[in-house]
Amino acid sequence: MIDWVPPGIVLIAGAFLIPFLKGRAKRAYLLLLPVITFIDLFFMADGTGWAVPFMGYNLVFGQVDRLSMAFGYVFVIMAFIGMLYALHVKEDGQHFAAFLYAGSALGVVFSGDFLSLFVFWEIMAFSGVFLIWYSRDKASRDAGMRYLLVHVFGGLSLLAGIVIRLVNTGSLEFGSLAHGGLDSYLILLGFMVNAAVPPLHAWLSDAYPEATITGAVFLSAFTTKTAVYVLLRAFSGFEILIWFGAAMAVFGVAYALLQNDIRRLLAYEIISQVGYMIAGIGMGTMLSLNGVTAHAFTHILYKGLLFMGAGAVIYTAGKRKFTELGGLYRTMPLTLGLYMVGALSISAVPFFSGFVSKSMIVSASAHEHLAPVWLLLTLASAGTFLLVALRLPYFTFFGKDSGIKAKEPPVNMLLAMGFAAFLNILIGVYPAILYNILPFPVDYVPYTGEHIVWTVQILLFTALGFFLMRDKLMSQPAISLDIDWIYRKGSRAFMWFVEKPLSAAAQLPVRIFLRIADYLMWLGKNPTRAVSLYASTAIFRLLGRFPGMPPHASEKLLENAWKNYPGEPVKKSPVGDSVILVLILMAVYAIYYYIVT
Amino acid sequence: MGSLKNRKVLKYLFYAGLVIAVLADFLMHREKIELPWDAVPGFNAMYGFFSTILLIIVLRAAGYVLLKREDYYD
Repeated sequence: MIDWVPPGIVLIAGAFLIPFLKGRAKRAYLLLLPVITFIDLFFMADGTGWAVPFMGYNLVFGQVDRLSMAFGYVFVIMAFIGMLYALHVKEDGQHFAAFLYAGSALGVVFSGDFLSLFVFWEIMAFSGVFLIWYSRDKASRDAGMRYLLVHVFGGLSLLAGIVIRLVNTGSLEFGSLAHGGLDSYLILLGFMVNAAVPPLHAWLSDAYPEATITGAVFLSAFTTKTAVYVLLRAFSGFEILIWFGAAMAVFGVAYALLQNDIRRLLAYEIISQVGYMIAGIGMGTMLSLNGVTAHAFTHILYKGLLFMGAGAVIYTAGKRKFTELGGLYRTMPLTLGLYMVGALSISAVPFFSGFVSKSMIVSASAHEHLAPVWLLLTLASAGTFLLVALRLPYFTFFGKDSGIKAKEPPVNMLLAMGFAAFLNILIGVYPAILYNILPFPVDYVPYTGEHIVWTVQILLFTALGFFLMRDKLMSQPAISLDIDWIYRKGSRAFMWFVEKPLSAAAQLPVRIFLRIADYLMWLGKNPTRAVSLYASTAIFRLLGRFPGMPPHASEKLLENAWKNYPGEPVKKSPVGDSVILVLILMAVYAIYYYIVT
Repeated sequence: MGSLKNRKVLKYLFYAGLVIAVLADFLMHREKIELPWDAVPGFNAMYGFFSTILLIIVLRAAGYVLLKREDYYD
């Protein structure tokens, strides 16, 4: 109990010291904090630690097993890499938000109960949004607000599921939920929002490209992978996820092909890669679950690297679209080289990290004889290589020279990219280092002759297709429509509805009552004359004239009478209104008395 | 992007790679056949190539519907 602290708490509590440090000490501290957290991980013992009684429930902050440790390792490594990449940023708030965000993701991973999981889940959403807002422009403010609203929706669905579960079972324990029932479907919905499973994915491709250059690196790592972790724990073997995942893998690639913004392309690629993981969770075999864990691990490292590479281009070139970039290889060769390590890793080229992890999931689909899933996942692999390793570098670093005078980014950015690139190659060359920390024992060999030959075939012939048709892959300065159309345009339709028909309808009763009040005031000026006016008008309408008067003169008389209303001020009778009221009441009482008795 | 001669050499190396990757498949020993096409040499090459062409064609078509001017939401 005493010898280790939940790693999420270390990062979150540690973040509060940042504003008190200055200059070199602060930079050292920013790097030291993830290192301390990493050392802390080694002291964590399997089992349930840090159980805190709270209002009759047991909150568990330290649920430790092989699965949570695997995610814990890569989360802390990525927090270190991301912080190294962001070291030149002067604003404390950005570092604070980043540690809060990474720390809450770690908090989710080691949560053993739904209540603490939910709290960390929400901290993650609310700290992540600041990594977007710190871009400080209108696009990021709007996208951040949409990001927040979608996550609040997902969080509420999760909370509703947790509450129903608590009422039904009396337990808050976080475990397998693959049994069906309303509570598990609501929780699944909440998890799937964060995993960006279509059609709940649009927040990701909407918000991540608007984040700060350094913030996007953090964002690419934690939210979706935390969701993968909780889905893996709660819904492994939930069959429908296979099909969601396979469709998602192809969907992400397809949409990525349409993008002109380099980070939006990479954001859609996250959706595609998470699709492999979701499919693997649905299969629920030992091989596939190992594959999901391995792929989440490598994905964080290579996707972080890709976002760092794209960020370096945006940082020094100041442009983010294919139509504005090109020919940067002369001035940014190091960035290009490091980016390509990430690109070859995501494409699952042999001896890079993606090869040893993605192939586990694809092989698992073959073992289960799920031929359509294999075809979809392989199609997505070809598309990923086409996009990330061919199209993006071709149109950014080669292609038509844009004439931009870019240079290499600051040294801390290059070091962070270099470290991530090193880990990607290390895992690709020596996969045992990754396989040893997976949740189940691994008897999978990635480097077999047939496997390498088949992979090389897919890659080379995809490249052939690219070179034959690369003119067709030129970007247009355009944006693509996606599900977010529904709420971006829908919110406008809603506001129109509120402002026009709804507010008009709301005004209607007000207008009616105002008219009534006006009328009563008019009547009160001279009630007797008003009554006689009504009576004479009625007579005139019925007969066409007043008795003993020609029609023309009658009309004239009536018109003048209306015009002169209220006429002379009403003379108050000396008896007073109250006496008249008393008289009326007495008369009513007398009538009542005679009738009832 | 390099001299013209270099590009030519790279091109031929690339074509050689394509041929070798398919030929090697004929010699490859298969541990087990799990999917119907595991036994077909060169299937992955064909599938990779046609996937790419298909993706590009479908997306050019989808672009007409899905792509809008950049100020669409403003």
